[in-house]
Amino acid sequence: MESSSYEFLRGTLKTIVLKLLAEQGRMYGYQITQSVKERTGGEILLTFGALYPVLHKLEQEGMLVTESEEVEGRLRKYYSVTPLGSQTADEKVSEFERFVGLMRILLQSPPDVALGQ
Amino acid sequence: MEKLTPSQLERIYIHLLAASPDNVLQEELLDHLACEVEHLINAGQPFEKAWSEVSGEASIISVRCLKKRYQNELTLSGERLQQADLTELVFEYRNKAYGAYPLRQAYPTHIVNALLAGTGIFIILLAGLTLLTS
Repeated sequence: MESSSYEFLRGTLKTIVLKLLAEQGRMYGYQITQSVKERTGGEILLTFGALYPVLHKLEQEGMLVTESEEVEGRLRKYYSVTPLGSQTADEKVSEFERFVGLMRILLQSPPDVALGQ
Repeated sequence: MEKLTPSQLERIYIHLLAASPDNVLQEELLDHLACEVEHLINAGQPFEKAWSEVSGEASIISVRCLKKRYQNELTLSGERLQQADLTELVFEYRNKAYGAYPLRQAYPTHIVNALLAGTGIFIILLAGLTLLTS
């Protein structure tokens, strides 16, 4: 994916993360990046630098809860959505779909009519 | 599935410590990078090669950059800032699990308990002494 696409991604990262967690239940950070990578055929690569601030922000806002488990001698932090989080996921997804629809209308070449007549 | 040995894990940890010693994300980043290295090892690469690739992406600069972004994203504001005490502010972006944070949080309770216990023992001793001498 072009690096300029990161700009689009930044605004939608919360939506992606919430939606994914609402669907899949419990996930840890690396698993989220892998899941996004697989689903998009390697086109969208989330970096840890982009992901973790968003995860912690969502946790602070009460959308996610975490539990830590020791796996293979290291601490693994699992995230899952709260009821508020899953409600927000639905809202954000439908908002975003509306936005994508509007963008599509905007980007289509305008119909061949003279405006303002 | 190939798993990292404790000494290999330690190398990743030392790298992260060098990038930022009191990062709140330390444990999570360690697990994240370890997963990435294991992924490459399972794809057939030796540890050294896998780690040099992963550490290239997770360079000291990019870890520091993450820390900065994290701070911008999660700065205390509004009501939370009003309610925050000194301990909360001091530990805002620091690793709270390390141990100093719970100690500081419990400090006021410890002081009150110690004061009460101290006063109690002093009064008991004084009473005992007065009874003995009378």
